[in-house]
Amino acid sequence: VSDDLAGLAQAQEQTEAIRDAASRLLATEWPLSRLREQLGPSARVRAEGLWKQLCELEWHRVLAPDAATGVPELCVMAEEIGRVLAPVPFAQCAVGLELLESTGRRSQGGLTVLANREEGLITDPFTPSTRATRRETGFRLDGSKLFVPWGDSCDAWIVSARVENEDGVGLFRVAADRPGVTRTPLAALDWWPLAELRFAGVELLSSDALALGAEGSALLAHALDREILASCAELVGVASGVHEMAVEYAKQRVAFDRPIGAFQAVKHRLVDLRADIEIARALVSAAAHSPLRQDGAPSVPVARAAFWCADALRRVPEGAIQIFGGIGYTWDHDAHLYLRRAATLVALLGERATYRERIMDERRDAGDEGGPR
Amino acid sequence: VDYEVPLTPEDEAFRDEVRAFLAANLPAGWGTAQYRGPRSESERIELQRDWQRRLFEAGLVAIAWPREHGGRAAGFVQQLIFNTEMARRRAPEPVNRSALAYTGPTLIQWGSEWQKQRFLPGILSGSEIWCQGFSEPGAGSDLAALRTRAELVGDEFVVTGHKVWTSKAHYADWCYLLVRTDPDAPKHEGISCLLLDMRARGITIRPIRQITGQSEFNEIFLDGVRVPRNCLVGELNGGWRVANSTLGYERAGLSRPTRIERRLRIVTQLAREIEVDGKARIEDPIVRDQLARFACRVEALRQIATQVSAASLRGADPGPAASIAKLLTSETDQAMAGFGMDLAGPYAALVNGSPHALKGGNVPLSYLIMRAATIGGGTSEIQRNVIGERVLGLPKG
Repeated sequence: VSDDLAGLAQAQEQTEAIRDAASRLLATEWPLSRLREQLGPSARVRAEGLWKQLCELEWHRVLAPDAATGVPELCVMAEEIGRVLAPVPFAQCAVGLELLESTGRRSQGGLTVLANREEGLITDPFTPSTRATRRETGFRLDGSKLFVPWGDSCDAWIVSARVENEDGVGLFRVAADRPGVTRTPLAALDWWPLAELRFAGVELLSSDALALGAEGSALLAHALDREILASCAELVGVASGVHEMAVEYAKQRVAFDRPIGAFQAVKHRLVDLRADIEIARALVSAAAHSPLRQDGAPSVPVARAAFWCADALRRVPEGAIQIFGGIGYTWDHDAHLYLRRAATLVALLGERATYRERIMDERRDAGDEGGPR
Repeated sequence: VDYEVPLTPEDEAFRDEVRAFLAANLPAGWGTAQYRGPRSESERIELQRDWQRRLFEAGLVAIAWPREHGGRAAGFVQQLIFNTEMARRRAPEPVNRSALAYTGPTLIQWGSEWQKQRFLPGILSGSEIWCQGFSEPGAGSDLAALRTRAELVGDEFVVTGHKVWTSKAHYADWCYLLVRTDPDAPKHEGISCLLLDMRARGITIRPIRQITGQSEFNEIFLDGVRVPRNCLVGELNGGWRVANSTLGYERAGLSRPTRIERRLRIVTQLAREIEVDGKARIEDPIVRDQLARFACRVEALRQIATQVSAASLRGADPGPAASIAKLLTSETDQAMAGFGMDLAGPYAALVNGSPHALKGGNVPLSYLIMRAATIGGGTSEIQRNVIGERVLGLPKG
C-alpha cells in the first residue's frame, strides 16, 4: 500500500468496500443466536458453515504471497469478525498459510496455525524452551506449547523451537498425526477453541523446517506482528459491537421519565468509550499501513496498537454492562459474550510491559527540538 | 513526499509561490535564537497586522474563500500546502485569524450585499481588526442564555449588556456580537447577530487577568450603544441559526496535531533530564507507562488527522473520529502538561525569574495555561454532549 495521502485515500476506498461486503455477509450468516445455540458448560464454539463460506471467498488467503490483499484487509476483516463474535480461525489460518507459502510450501487445504506460546510468563518469543535436535534425517522435537488458538482443530502446526547449539528460532511444520504428539483442549472463558500441545521425541524431516536461524526469527516476528495486530482489530470489532448495543439500549431504556442516554453520566461514559475505540482503530490502521520493518524486528506501530487495546478495550464491554444494569448481568443477555471474548483476547495479547518497552525504545531519540514555546 | 500527496504543476507553482513569499516576508532572523519577538501585546498585534497586510498584498489570505469575495477558491491540496508551509516556518498568525475563519464565512453565508461589500475587504486586508462578542458572565456553555439586550428604536438598535472572553477588544475596530432582541420569546428564538463599531459611544473595555497573570482577553461593557439597523446579520431574532453556522466553522477546523507532538517531546525530554536519587525519571516503569500511553494517543491523533485529510481529498465525510479528535487533543495536551508537573517534583513550584527554575518556569506556566484547553472553544462537557447527540444519536438531556 502506498504511504502517501493519495494512496491512503485510494486504500480507504478499497478497505471500506471490503468492510461493507464483509459486514453484510457476517450479519446475515452469523447472528448471535447461532453462537448461543452452542453455549454450555464445556462448549467449544465454532462457526463451521461460515468458515467454509469464508474460505470459498478466499478470506483465508488474505495474506498469501500471490494475493492482491494484505494487512489492511486482514485488519478490516478481523474487525468485522469481532463485531459479530464469529468463532472462525481467520487470522491464525491466514498467518499460517503465509508462513507456509512464503517458505515455498504448499498448504494442503487443512488448518495450520502458529504455535509459539509456552508455559510460564515469558515475554520473549525468540527464546522458546521447546527444542529441536538435529538428526541424520531431520530433527527431533521435544517440548510443549500452551494457549494455542484453534490448536486442537488443526491438521498441522508451525512450532517455534530453539535448535540446539544454534542461534535464532527454528520454525517447524508438525503434522497433528505424528507419533509423540498429544493435544489437550483447554476450557476457555469465551469457549473459543484453545489447546495445549506436547511433543515427545517427535521425528521431523529436514523439509519440515520452514526456516532456521536469523531467517526463522525474522519470519516469527513478521507472523507475530500480524497475529497481534489482527487480535487488536478483532478487539476493536468486539468493542464496537457491544458499544453499539449499549448506545441503542441507552436510547430505549427509560428511567426517571427519560431515556437513560439523556443523562450525562451515561452519555459521557458512552462518548469516552467510543473515543477509546477510535484511538484503537486509528492505531490499528496506522500499523496496518506502516511499511514492513526490514530488520525483522517486531514493529513499533503494532506495539502501540497492542498496548492501547490491552489497556482500553476490555473497559468497553465492562462499561456496556454497567449501562445495561441488572439485565446485563444475566446469562440470557448477550453482553457477557462480548465481555468474555474481549477479556480472552486481551489475556492472550501478550505482556503489556513488552509493548511499552518497544514504544519507549523508539522514543529514545525523540527529544525536544528547542525553539519558542 | 512533502505533502504525502502528488502535486500537479499548478500545485508546485503554488508551493513555490508560498515559499518565496515566506523567504521574502518573514521578519529578519525569524526562527533563530537571536530573534527578539514582540515584547508587548501591542507589538504582537502590530506584527500580526503587518503580517496579514503582506499576505493580503500577495493574495495569500483566505485562499479557500470564493473568488468573488477575494479568495482563490483553493482546493484541499493547496490549503494543505499553505498550512504546511506556514507551520514549517512557524509563521505569525494574521491579525484577523478568527475573523478570517469564522466571521468572514458567516458574512458570506448570511450577510447582506452591503455588509459583504463594506466589511469583507477590511477582514481580508487586516485594515480593520475584528473581535467576537459571544460569551457572557451568565452564558458560557449555555450560550443561548445570553442577556445582552438590543432594542430596536427607529432605525437603530440600542444595546446594553456585558460580554466576556473577547480577545483583541482593545485593538478591534468591529465586533461580531450576539444579542437578545426578543426577551419574551423562547431563548433560542430571541437572539440576533449585530456588527458593532467598537468606536461607538457607551463601550467600556476592561482586560481580564488570567490565572497566568497575563491578559489576553477582555470584558466589554455596553451601555446604550447605538447600532444602525443595516448592521443586523440575517433575520431579526434569527441569530441563533447564524451563530450556529459560525460554531460549525469552528468545529470543522481540525487542527493538525503538531502541538501535542511537540509537548510529548518536551515531557519525554523532561523525564530524561530530571533525576531522582541519581536516576533519570524515565527509568521508572510508572513514568514509562504513562509516556507510552501519551505516545499512543498522540500517534492516534496524527493518524486520525491524516485519515481526515485523505477523506477530504476524495470528498468523503471525515467521519466521527474527526469530531472526537478535538476533545481528545485538548484533554491529552492538558494531561501531558500536568504530567510535566509530576516529573518536575519540587522544581514545579519555581516560576520564571526564580533561581533554579526549570526551563525558565515553563513547566508550571504550561500547566496553568492548559487549564483553558478543556474550557475554551466549547468545554469538554459540551463537546461530549455534542458527540453523544450528533455522533451516537443519544437524546438531549
